[in-house]
Amino acid sequence: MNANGRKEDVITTAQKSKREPFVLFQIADTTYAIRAHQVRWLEMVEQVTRVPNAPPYVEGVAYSRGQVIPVINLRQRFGYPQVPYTPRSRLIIADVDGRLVAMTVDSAREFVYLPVERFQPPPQVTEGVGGEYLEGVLADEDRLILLLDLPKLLPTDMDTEFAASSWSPMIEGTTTNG
Amino acid sequence: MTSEGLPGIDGEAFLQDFLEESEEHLRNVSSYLLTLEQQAAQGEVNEQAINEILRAFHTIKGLSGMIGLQEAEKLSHELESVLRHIRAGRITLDPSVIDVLSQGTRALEAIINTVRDPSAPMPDIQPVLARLPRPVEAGDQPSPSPPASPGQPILDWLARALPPAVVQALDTEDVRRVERAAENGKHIQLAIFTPSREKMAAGVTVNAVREQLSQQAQVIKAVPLIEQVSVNGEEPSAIVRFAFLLASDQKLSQKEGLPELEWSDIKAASPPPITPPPPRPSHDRVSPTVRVDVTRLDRLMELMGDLIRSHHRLEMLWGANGKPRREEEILAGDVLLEMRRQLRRLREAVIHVRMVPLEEVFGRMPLVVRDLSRSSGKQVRLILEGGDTEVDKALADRLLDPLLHLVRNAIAHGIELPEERAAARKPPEATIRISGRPEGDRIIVSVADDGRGVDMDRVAEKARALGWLAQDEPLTPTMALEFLCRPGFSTRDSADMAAGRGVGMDVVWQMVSSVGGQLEMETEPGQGTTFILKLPLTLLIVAVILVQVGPERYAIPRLVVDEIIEISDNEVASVNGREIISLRGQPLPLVRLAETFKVNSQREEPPRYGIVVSSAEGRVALGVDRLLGLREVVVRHFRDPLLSIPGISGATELGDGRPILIVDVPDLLRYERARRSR
Repeated sequence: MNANGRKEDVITTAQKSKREPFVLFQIADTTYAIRAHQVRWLEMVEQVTRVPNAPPYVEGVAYSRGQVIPVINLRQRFGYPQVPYTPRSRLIIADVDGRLVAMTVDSAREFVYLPVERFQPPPQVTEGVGGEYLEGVLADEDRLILLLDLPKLLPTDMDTEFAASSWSPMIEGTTTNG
Repeated sequence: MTSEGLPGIDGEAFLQDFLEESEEHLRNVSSYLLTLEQQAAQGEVNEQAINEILRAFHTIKGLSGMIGLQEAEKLSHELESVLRHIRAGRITLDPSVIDVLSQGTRALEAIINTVRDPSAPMPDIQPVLARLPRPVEAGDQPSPSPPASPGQPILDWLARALPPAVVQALDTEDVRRVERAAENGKHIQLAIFTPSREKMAAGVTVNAVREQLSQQAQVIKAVPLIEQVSVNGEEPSAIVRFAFLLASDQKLSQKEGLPELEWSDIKAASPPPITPPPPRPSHDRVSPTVRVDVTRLDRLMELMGDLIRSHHRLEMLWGANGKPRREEEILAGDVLLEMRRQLRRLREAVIHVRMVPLEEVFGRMPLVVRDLSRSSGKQVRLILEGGDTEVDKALADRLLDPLLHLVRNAIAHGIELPEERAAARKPPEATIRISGRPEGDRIIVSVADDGRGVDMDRVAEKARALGWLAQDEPLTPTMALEFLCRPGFSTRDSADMAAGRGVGMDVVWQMVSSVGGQLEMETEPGQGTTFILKLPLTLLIVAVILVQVGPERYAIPRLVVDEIIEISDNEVASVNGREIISLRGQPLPLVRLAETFKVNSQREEPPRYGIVVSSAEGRVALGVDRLLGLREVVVRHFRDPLLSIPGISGATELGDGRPILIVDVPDLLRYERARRSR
C-alpha cells in the first residue's frame, strides 16, 4: 500500500540517527514529550463536563469525535497550581493500551524527532514536576525535555481513597453485564 | 410504575414515528414513480419498482389505520389496488396512469400533513379516487372480478372451520388456492393423521399418507400440529399430528382405501358466497409477525439489565457468607447458577427480537447508485453482499445516512469516467461492493470501489495548508482518514473534491463513533478505496428526563421515574437531619442532587422539582432546579476505571459537544444510604 510505503521511507531516514517521533507539550513552562504513536488527536479545550466524586485529577469528561473521554488535568496530577484555560490550551487525546484518555496541557505545538538513545533515566528527585510519571529526561539544545510514562499516569484501578469507601463493591456490581 | 407528570408523551412519539415512516415511504414512492416513468417511456416495465410502490402504499395503509386516519387509509388502499392490477397486467402502465398515481401520492402527502399541522385543510380525495383507472376485464372472467387479494370472507370462513394452527400456517397463495378450489366446486376437507408406533411398523408414515392423499386430492397445505396431552392424569407430554388441507372433486372418506384419518368437511361442493371485499384494509396475508415499537424493546432491555444486576447482587450476597454449609445454601447456589444461564439466554432472546437484516438498508442503495451513475455519466455496477446479516434495528436506522454518503462519495470522487478508466486499462464499468458480515460481537460493513483511490499527497498538502499537519510530519493512513472526516477539510472547490472525500465524511465518522464503532480506510492509488465500518451489534437507546442542577445538567432514565412533583419552599421538613417532603400525605425523603453531586451552586433554597424515583433502596424524590425535557439518547457506558463514579452510569451528548452524565438511580440511592450511615 502506498501510504504504508511512504511511512516506511520516513522511518528509514529516521533510523539513521535512531530518532523517533514525539509530540511535545508544555505545563508551567516545562516541556514534556509523549510518543507520537500514542497520540490520537489534539483538540482545543472546549466543553469539559465535571464528573462528581471523581478523583481530583479527573477533571471530567469531554465529547470528542463522537466519544465520551475522561479528561485528566495534568497540572493537578503533577502538583502544579491551577490556571484558567487560554486559547493555547490543548486536549491531547491519547490511546494508552486501548484506553482513550484526554489530557489538558498549557500548549502543544511541536512534533519532533528525538534521538531516543540520548534519553537519561529520570533523576531521583523530580518532585513537583510529575517525577514519578517520567520515563526519561533529554537535554535538547538549550532545553530539558521530560518523557512521560503514560501507562504509569493512569491507574488501572482506583488507587485513591475512593476504592476503600464502602460502596465500591456495588460499583463493580453495576458495571457487570451478563 | 406510572408516567404521571408526563402526559401524552407516548402518543406524541407514536405520531412522530408515524409521520417519519410515512414520509419516508412517500419519498420512496416518488422516486420509484420517476423510475417507472423513465422506463415506461422506453417500453420497459420495472417490476421491482411496482412492487416497492405497492409495498409502500400497503405500509402507509396499515400505519394510517393504526392512527385512525381514514382518508389516508382509504386512498392508499385504492392506490394499492391499482398497483396490484398493474402487476397482474389488468391495467396498462401508461403515462396517464403514472400521472394519476403521482396525484394520488401528493394527495396522500397532504392528508398525512394534516397530522403534523392540524390547521391544514383535509383534502377531498373523491376527485382522485374518481380518476383512478379500473382494471380491464378479460372476456371469460366472471364479473365482478375476483379480488386481487383473498377477500376477508374467505379468511373468516377458514378461521371458523380450521384449527388455529392451520389458519396461521396459511399464506396468501394457500388462501387463494382454497378460494379457487371452492369456486370451481371442489370439496374442501381437513384430514388429520396421528402417527403411532404400530402404524409406522406397518409402513404408514406421514409421507406415505401424504403420497396417498395427493393421488386423490390436491394437498393445499400440510401442517404439523403439536399438542400437549395428558393421558389418565399422567404428566402431560407433547404429541405431533399432521393436518392436511385438501381439495378434491369428490368427498373423500375412510372408504377410499386410505389409512386411518380423522375427517372433517370444511366445505361441500358449492362455492362459498364471495362478496366483493369491503373497502377496509383486508389482511394481505395471515402473518405470524407483530410490529413492535423499538422503544418498547429498549425498555425490555433496560429491565433485563436491572434483572442481571439484581442477580449479580444476589450472587455476591450468597458468596459473601463464606463457604455454604447448610444444604439449602448449596441448593440456592445451584439455583443462582441456573438463573445466570437463564438470564443470559433471555438477554440473547431479547436482543434477537430487535434484529433486522441489513437488507433493510442495503435495499435502498441500488436506486441511489442508478440515479447517481446516470447523472454523472459513470458506469457503475453495484454488488451487495451479506444483506441477510442481522443487526440491531436502531443500528440499521443509523446506518442509512453513512452508507448513502459513502456511495455518493465513491461515485462522485472515487470512480472515474469510462474513458479515463479505459485509459488506465480498467473495465469501463466500475464496481461498488457493499458488504456486511458479523465478526464476533461486532458487525463489519464495508463499501469498496475500484476507482482512483485517495490521493495521499493532496491530502497531506491540504492538511499542511490548514495547519493540521506539521511540515515535516508524515501522513499516516490513520491520520489521512481523520483529516478526511474533519468538518472543513473539503470545501466546495472542485480541486479539493478531487483531492479528498470530505463531503459528508464527518457524518460517517460521527455516526460510527457515536455508536462506539470504528471507521477504517484502505486505499491504493489507481486501485480503489474501501471504507470499513466496525459496529457493535446492539445499541442502547434510553428515554431520559433532562434536569438542571445549579449550572449542571443530568439525565435521569425515565424508566425509574414514577412521577415529577413541584416542591414549594415551606413543604420541606427536616427529620433527624434528613429532609422529607410530603407526597399525597405520605412522607418521602428528599435527596438534593446538588448535594450528592457536590454541585457548586449559590442556591440555598430547596430545589423546585422532585423527580420521584424508586429502586430496591426505596422511594425518594431527587431534588433538581429545572426540568429540561424528555429525550431519547444513545447511552455511552463508562468503562474506564477513572470513571467508575457512584451514581453515574455513563454519558450522552445532545449535539452541542457537551457530555451529559446519566444518573444510575439504584446505584445513587445505595451510595446515598452508605454516605448517610457513615
